[in-house]
Amino acid sequence: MSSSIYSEPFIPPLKAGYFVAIHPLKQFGLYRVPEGSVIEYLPPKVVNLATPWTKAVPPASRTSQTPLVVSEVEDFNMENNKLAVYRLGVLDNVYIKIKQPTAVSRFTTRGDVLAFDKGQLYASIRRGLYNILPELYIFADKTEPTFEVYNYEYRETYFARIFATGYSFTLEKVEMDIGEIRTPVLHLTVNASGG
Amino acid sequence: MGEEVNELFGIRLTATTGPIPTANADIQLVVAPWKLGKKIRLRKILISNTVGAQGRVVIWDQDLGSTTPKSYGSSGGALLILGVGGVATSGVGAVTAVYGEDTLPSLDFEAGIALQVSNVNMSVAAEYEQY
Repeated sequence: MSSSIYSEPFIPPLKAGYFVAIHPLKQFGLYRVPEGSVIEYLPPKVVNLATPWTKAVPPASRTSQTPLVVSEVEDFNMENNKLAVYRLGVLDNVYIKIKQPTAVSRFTTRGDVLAFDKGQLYASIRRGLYNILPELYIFADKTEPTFEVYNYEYRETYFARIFATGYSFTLEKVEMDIGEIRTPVLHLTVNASGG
Repeated sequence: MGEEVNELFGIRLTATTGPIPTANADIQLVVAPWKLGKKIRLRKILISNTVGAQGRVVIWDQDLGSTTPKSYGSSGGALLILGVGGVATSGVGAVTAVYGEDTLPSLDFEAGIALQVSNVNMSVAAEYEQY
């Protein structure tokens, strides 16, 4: 799949001049990354989804798995009118599902919700394949994700850390008809209750 | 790139007890920075024994200075027991056992590395990763 001279860099999905449509359009609207704006790299941030020593991820079970549900995590929020795109990694032995907004699962396939864990992601990181790490978009404080954290171990743990690194873009609002745009538009849907 | 994901964020540190004056007493080798959201992983450990009787170190996960973090194991129910031989002539020389990266399972400690030794004047040194 890879060699020592091949890697997949994490390429920013937007460049200056690209459009972003944030739904519902009547509430948010159409934005653009301003011409000449600088894309800022966000160094890795580590967030513990559990809380030592009060909120643990329940142990794995031989029957059904009970997650630690961490709702509307604020740690990745950006300033107003800024969009961040993160790539995620996992530091501890848990597997994670994301919902964004709270009622909507990310990474769905027909009949399944995909989860990710340290082992899977490490296989990518080890080979320099950064562009296939799970992606998370955060617009201002309006798109707080909910994480469901499941334990692989049969002992509760207070460490369920993820790290996120990526890019941030300053957006400017534009008054245009989306039909007028001839270049690809990134569409994001916001949970209005986050605001 | 590193052997594990935690090597992206971990740093290697060392801790040593020096000669331990009391046998079978709780000693804190190192406290995990649990307050700062990190745990520690034991990578290498060295045990020295300066008496004729064989030595034993029992190790478990506890912060002896705080009841806040959960402990795993105890002196009676250790997570790990390591041994070291006895010296031919007691009080002269030392026998050292070294458990390195490829021989020691790298255990995680969330509260801290606590231990007891079986003989007076044993000493323990460890290299661990904070991540």
